[in-house]
Amino acid sequence: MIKLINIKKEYGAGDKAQEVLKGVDLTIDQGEYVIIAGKSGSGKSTLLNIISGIDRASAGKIVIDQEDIRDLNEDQLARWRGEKLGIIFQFFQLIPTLSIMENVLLPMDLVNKIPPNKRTEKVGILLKTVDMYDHRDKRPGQLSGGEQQRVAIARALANDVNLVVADEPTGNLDTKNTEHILTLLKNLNKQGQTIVMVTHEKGDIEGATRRIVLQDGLIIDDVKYDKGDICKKQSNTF
Amino acid sequence: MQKTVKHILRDLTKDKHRAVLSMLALIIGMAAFGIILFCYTIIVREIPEVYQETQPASASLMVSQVDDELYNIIEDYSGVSDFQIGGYYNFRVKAGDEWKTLELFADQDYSERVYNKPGLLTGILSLKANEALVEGDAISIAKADVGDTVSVMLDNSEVKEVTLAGSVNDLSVHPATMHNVVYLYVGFETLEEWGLLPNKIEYVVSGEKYDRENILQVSNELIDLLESRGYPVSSLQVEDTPGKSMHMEEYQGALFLLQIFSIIALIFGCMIMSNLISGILSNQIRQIGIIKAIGGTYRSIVTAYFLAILLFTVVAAAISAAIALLVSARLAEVLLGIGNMIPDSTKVPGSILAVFGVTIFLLPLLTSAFPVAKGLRISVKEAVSDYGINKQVISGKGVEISFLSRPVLLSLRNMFRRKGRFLFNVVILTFAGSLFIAVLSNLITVQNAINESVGMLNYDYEMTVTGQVEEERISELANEAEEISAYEVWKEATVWHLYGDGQIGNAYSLISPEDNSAMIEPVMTSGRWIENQKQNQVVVTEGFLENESQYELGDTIEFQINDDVYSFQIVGILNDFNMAKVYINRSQFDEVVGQGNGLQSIKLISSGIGNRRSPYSGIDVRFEENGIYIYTSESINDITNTLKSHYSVTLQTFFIIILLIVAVAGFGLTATVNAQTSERIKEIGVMKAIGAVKKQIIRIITAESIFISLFSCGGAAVLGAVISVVSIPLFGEIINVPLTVSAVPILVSFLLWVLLAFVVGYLSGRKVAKRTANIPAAKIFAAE
Repeated sequence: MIKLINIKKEYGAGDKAQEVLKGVDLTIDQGEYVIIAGKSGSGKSTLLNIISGIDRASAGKIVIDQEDIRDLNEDQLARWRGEKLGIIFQFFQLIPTLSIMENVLLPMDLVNKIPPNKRTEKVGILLKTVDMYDHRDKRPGQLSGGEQQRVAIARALANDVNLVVADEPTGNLDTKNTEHILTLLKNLNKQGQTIVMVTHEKGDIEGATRRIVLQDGLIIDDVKYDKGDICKKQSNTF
Repeated sequence: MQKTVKHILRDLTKDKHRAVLSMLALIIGMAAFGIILFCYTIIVREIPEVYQETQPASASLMVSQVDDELYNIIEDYSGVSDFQIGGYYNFRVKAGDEWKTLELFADQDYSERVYNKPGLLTGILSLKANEALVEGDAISIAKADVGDTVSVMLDNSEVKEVTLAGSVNDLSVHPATMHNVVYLYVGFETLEEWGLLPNKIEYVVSGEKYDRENILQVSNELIDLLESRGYPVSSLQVEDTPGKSMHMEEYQGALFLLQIFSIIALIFGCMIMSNLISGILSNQIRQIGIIKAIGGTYRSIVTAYFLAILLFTVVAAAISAAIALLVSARLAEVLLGIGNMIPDSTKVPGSILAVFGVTIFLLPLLTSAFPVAKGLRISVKEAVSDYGINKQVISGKGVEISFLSRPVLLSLRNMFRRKGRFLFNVVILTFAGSLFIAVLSNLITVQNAINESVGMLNYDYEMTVTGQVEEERISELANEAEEISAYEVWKEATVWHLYGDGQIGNAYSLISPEDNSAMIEPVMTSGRWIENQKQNQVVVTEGFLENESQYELGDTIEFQINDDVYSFQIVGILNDFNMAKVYINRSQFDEVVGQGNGLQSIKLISSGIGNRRSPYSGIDVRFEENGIYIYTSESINDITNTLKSHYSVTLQTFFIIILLIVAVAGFGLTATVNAQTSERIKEIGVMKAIGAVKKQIIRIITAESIFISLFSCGGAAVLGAVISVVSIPLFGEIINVPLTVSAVPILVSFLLWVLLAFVVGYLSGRKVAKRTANIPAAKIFAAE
């Protein structure tokens, strides 16, 4: 599903150039729940941004669902993301002027993939899935961090996407809310949703099917877990 | 402190586009204030100064000829302290292929003229025989320049030639281009060669030389004296405001507008400034937190911000002062030029510059005090936790329109997000809109009044005949001319208004249309139109009542006609504000003026020539070939243009103000949209991340700008209508045009504002929207 070949990323130019990714090769299959771990500055968020098409690689090839996304321009990338990819941010990034329901409807309106007459019904199902249906008319500012992140998950799933990427989705949450979010992601993965999550929290590995560790822009560890075994494994590289 | 200021300045200018936009908005606001203030100062100073330099006489008299005896009579008369002899004749001059109306002035030597002195523009003032000076504004009408030779046709059809030896600026005449007339000035030598004599006496009365009452009293005594000694006086000219430029009145409307709008421009500028600072500060929250966290006190940060703002203000002030000085000088020249005045100087006095300087330095600082104070009150904790999308808690449902998509709803709700800023913008745009509506509705009302005044006339061409011509001959020629489909012969005579105490007042045209005339459809302000055979009745125009405001409908008025005095009742007031005229029926005219006396004016309906400017045509030629000399000819187009040109100072000022209003409001809105967008840049990044393409981002931002703009239209409509209702009659009084408030001009102005508000909103948001939409998502998220 996702194939990264010798991905490099440099920031700056000339003497001041800083290589953040130094040649990453990675293949992620449909239905995987991949954790990208590593210390601060290891390049994990950059890698996620390249997978999601938010940032562009300086070199290398990235093929997602047989499509080399390097060939797409900014608008095509935006449309591609809207149709095929859901993003969950660390700081939730819900639009404060829109209600919870409208926040989830927004990507549907932007992308137009779901027929208009089916959107409200679908949002209802998604909000029930994340247990936020009763808060549908509230504004993000009226919700806790954990609640906002659940809405963000619903928003990421709005357009029936193939892939969900999450950038430290529990980084700003307390333990209880972290557990809730991880359970949600785990359940989504069980239903077949491919998930790629960046984290540096040890506990976040629960439910993942694979763990990749980055260090100084290179993958130094890549572990796959068997189904049913995943909750018990802990990484030594955190 | 120095480091903090540097740091703040770097932050303020980091976004070059925003910095440039902020600077532009500031410059435009300040420059608009300066332009209007400086222009007002120049005009108010120059009009009297320039006019006083001409040494205006108190009054002038026209006689058939001035000889030595008459000269001695005036010299001995104690009521006149000084005088000069001149000449004045109405002829025709050939301009290209056309014969234009010529007003010919004469003096012994223009270089030694004492009163009503024309100012030399080019060439020389001392003229030789068959040399002439041309009025500067008349050069384009005469289609001849200094050095050229022009042909003058005298009233006996003899054609003479004069060489233009120079050009002058004469403030005692109306601008030539306004009246489509040529003014030439010759020496007595030329006059003598043409068989003509000096016939004009310009004099200064003893005592209060510019007191109208005094002038009228002295002039009446002088007329009596001259006539008793066998020198009949054919006309007396005393200006309404002796010693003051006749154009001053035309500038009253413009000056009134300039006064009002200089204050408004300043208020707008300050509001925009305050708005900008608030926008900039909201992007500085983290910086403020960091400065506070590392030991910056509230006072030191406030001082640093004010210093940074002051630096911005200094740059903006320097540029706007330069623009204001340049543009105001040019604008004053243009506005004064409409009144045929050339300013001596367009310098702005130091005191006004000081007022401007203090105002543009202090007010921006004062108006930015509130947002600065508010912005800096934020705690370190709040400031440094400002990650991600704005964390303000927005409760309530907001705008709920079920059929609108989320992007459109987003634009609508974003509009209300920063209530203070939104209110600022709505207030600015409401003011701009209401002023636009008021200005335009005044403009339309003036235009309508002009059109209505001209619309009464059914003819499209008129010719005044010199001497008395048998009407059968006129009929014969008119019937032969294919281009004439209908005609009438009206009669005109000059009559003198008499005051209650028997003193002679102003001279007026007494006009007698044909009985049951089809060439005029009178629009009455009050009373009725003249009726055939009715005795002792006249109709006067609104223009007449402007001069003689003591009369109203039903009053009795006295005129001296030839040597007799007649009383008439005013039975109607004609809605013609342009000319001071008195209408009378034909039987009365023939009785009081005499059947064979007065001028004949042929009003005709032609096949299209009336639409042309100066359509000296085959009709004039045909009449003149048959010995009927045409004294003047004028198309309806000429009449309309002349009328409109009287208000052109005001109308052009209107347009300039409208442009300034729209520019200031537009820049203010652009700056706001820019600030709003900068604040929400993360939101835009998120939208891109979840699938929004550039076009959608552009639409969301532009729609917000348009919504703000259109939202102001409601308030603008109400306020604009109120200002219009109040200002239209007031403005009419200022420009001496009876203006009536009607709904149509206000409605038309409002609809135009809605359209303009949409365009302003679109253009204001479009540039910012495009720029924002082009920022890659990666750049937006880079900070995180």
